[in-house]
Amino acid sequence: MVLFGQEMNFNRIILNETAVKAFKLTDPIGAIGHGLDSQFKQEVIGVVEDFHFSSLKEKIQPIVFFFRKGKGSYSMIIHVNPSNLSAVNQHMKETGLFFFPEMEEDIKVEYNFLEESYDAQYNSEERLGELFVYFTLLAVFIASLGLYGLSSYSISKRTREIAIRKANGALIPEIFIMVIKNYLVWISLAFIVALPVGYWLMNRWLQEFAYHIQVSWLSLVEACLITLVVAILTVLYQTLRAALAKPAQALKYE
Amino acid sequence: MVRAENIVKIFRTEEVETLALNAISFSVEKGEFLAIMGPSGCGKSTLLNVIGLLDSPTKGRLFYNGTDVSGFGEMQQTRFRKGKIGFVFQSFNLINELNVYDNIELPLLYLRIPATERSNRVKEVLNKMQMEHRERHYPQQLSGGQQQRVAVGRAIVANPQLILADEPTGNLDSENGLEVMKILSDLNQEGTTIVMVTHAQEYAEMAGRIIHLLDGNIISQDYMQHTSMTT
Repeated sequence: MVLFGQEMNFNRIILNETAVKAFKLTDPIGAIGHGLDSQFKQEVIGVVEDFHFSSLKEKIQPIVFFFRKGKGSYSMIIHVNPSNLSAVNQHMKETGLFFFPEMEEDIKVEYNFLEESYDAQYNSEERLGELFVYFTLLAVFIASLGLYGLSSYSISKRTREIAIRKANGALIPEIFIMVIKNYLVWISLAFIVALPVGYWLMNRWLQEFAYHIQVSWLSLVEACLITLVVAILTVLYQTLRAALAKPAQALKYE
Repeated sequence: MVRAENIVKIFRTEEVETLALNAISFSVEKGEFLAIMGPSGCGKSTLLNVIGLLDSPTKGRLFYNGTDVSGFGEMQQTRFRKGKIGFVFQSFNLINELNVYDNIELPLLYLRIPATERSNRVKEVLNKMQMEHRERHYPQQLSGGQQQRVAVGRAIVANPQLILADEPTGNLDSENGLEVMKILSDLNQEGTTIVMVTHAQEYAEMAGRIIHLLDGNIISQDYMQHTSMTT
């Protein structure tokens, strides 16, 4: 809340909510009109809601806004149309001169985009994210190769059994379920080990952020489903090849 | 019951083409005991596999009770032979990881027979094969004769119309061989149709008819006079 219509000067300040708490003012409304201390006598004329002005890793700090006139640098955040930046630049100069006519030609406008500033704050996280994606894909690829090799070996050892079962009435889906069942047991065991560890690691990383999301159980379920699909696709070819083969081929060499 | 018309089977590899069956035609009547004889490599087992829908013919037509099954795909073949055809192999082809009871029960599982009925039928077969005392044993703990009795038990547990036996006595000594032949002969007496591939003349003569194969061709047929045997 800001009391509009009051002239701004060095002794009239605006606080954010955290600053209100930091100065131990009873509440934002109550802070309006009170001097911060006996020495400086600033008067709080407004309180603004807390907003993030630095990385989410850090807690929102107290801010005191005050008006300072004279030569120096001033910054403001404005909403612009990025397709016409030269007009924006010109308009900024004109507006600056309106407020500070004494600066005449000394006024200089420098701007950067808020989006880029935010991006810069999370560069390391983005790089970490990319690295995680690459290494995860690599790990999944290596694990799939291993699973493919294991399933090839396992199915080649069970070719005769599959043929016997087919001769005795097993249909292709039944053979597929029989083979995949073994892998499902191992994958389930892997989930039991990996899920708590993954959950704990993700939470630990998120603790670095003062403001962070909660790890959703849904994302863990999604991870399980993706793993399951990758595992099934990996063993699918070998299993189907064995299940579709004529039983006579496997039985005649016995 | 079974009618084969000009069945041709060619095995192809990248380099070689082998004619295993050369336009073979014959039929098997319901309740018949047919023996197929011939030297090694003449196509006996291939013919049995084609009749049993374990393999598909390259050309020709195969009829079961008037139904043309020669164009069936893998899935249709499995569905068709399920419960209708029982197999007995020379090397028994029992599943080593399953015990005697579970091996015999296998076809009933795939037929989705309820558990109680499965149990009754397996016990009945174990009794018939005189293998009750071995029901918890694994194949590797049994003699060749006992393994073949289990294999025959598995072949008959679903009461199939047809039993295809590929040299069922090939890995057995004469005593066990005769025992298995007695079981097959008794099954035939009870009405089961049997087609058996064998090298042994004395066992072939227990059948009602013998087909002689050579190089994928039927060269002769003999009809036997006797249909009973003594042990």
